[in-house]
Amino acid sequence: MPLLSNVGSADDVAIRARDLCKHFGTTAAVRGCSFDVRFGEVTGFLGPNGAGKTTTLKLIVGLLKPSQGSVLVAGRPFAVHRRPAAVLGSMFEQAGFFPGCSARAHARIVADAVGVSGRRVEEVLDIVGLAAVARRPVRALSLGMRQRLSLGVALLADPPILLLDEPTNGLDPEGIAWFRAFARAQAARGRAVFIASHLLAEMAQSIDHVVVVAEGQIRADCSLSEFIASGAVSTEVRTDRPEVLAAALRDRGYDVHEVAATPGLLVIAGKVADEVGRIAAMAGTPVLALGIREPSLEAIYMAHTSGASLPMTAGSLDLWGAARDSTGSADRR
Amino acid sequence: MTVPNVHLGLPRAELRKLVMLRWTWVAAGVGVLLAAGTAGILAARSGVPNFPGSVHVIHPDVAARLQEQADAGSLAEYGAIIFGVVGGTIEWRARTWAVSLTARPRRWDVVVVKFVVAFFGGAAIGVAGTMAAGAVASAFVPHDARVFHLQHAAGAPTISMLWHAVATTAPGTALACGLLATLWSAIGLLVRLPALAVTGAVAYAVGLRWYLAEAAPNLARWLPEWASQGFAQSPQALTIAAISGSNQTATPSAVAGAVVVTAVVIVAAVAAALSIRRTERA
Repeated sequence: MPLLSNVGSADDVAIRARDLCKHFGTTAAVRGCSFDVRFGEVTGFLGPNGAGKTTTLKLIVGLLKPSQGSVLVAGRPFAVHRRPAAVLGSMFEQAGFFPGCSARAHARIVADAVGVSGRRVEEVLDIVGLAAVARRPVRALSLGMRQRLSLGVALLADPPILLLDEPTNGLDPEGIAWFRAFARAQAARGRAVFIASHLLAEMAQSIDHVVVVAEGQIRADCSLSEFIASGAVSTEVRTDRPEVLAAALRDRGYDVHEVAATPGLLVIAGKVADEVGRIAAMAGTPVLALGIREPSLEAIYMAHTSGASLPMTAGSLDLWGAARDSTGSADRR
Repeated sequence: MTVPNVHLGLPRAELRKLVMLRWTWVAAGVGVLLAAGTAGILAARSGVPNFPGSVHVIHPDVAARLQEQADAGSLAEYGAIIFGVVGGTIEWRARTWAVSLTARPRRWDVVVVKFVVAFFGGAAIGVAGTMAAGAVASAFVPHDARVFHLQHAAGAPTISMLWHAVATTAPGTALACGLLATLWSAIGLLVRLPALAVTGAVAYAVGLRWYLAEAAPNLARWLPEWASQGFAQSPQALTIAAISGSNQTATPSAVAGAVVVTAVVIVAAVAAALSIRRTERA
């Protein structure tokens, strides 16, 4: 990975946060967050609004000082690097634009500050697809175009680490697809891409690693496949004698939930469809439907962010035609 | 990818921000037009007589009138004040601190460069105003009144009386405008709200300082616009006495000017320190 040598990083860790805390008065926005962001991966930093994502990002780039803990970017505090913008490029959702500027002029101002040439400005405007509107005033750009401009500015010094706060906000479906491909391409080049978002469904198609934050605390830090696997698989069975089958299953030690909203539906923890079918036959209860349910990515995410156990409700099961959640399951990714 | 001088990049970025801002040009225009317009009016009314041939003894009244016209250049201070205050509030108004401070995370570098650019930008407005005042005034003053021999000897080099007056005023005006722009940039950084900061700047420029000059000339002499004239050792410095009609206050000395320059630097440093803390919550 040639980019690693550019920043002098001894290992493949681009960002290393340890016991990071930030208090605003009596409010703890970030509470003991520790995680790593690695080169060559797209890491999703996921959490609901107000979870502490943007605060954590600001701690990483030194816009905020941590109340406790430390964060290193390519082995050093961000501001200590000789050319910090050449190590990490960032875009923040709330960041503004210099007034009276065209897209090109805004990028030129930042280019001057980070010490790159005007030619590089033209390159990044081309990369983010704004070359045709570069002369247009920023105030005349759509939200999506402004997002692209912010992304282009983050790329100016060609940094090996990208830190992006809600980068798909305001992008149309085409723009979102473009961004996914962009993020994947950056990771394929060895860059570390750290994306904070509350939109799991959009991020799930482009991330390799997941860091879930809620109420200022890390709730999950694993690969996407591990994250999906962390969701409890369940077996769901429908019968016209649920109380009999439930009793038979419980007698054999199974964890059975009766779903009040859908009469006749039982949810059994684990991937035990064969056993459930066999026990139902032995108990003499007709099985109307039987299936395995892998929880949706959203369900896992919600379980992590709310701190609750994975939901076992009628809402999680397509099979029964009951009210389903709106997000789709992980296996449809 | 070529990498231009990183150290000069930050001043260049700050300058580019200000150049892109419409208010910068409004401020510069206000300053230059006030200076040039006032100088033109004074020159048109002065009735400086036409001298028969070149003279080497300057008539005191003529010299005073020409100096007065040259001093009109100091009205560029109005533009410098607006320039400073707008420059100081720009990052708050546009919410661009995150952009600026992630590009260059060392906050002191960023804020100090802002003040340096404000100083030189203000000084440039001062110089432009003074030059414009001289140019407009010279259109109204007879040629012979503008020229005198440096020495008694025939064939000695000649210089313009008016431009000599402009040249003696310009350093003080440039310094005054630079200091005012820096001071008001610092105030803008602290106030953050552009409308409030500009209102305060205008109130100071057109009212407060003149009231202070009337009511407390000994205090007013320490204001940057007048103290800097003393610091620049302008022989025809704009004095409080000239402003207020009082003879109690002399032109500030170079020492007084140096003290005021130091005070402005201290105010700017305090504003920088407070602003840097505030940027952590921006």
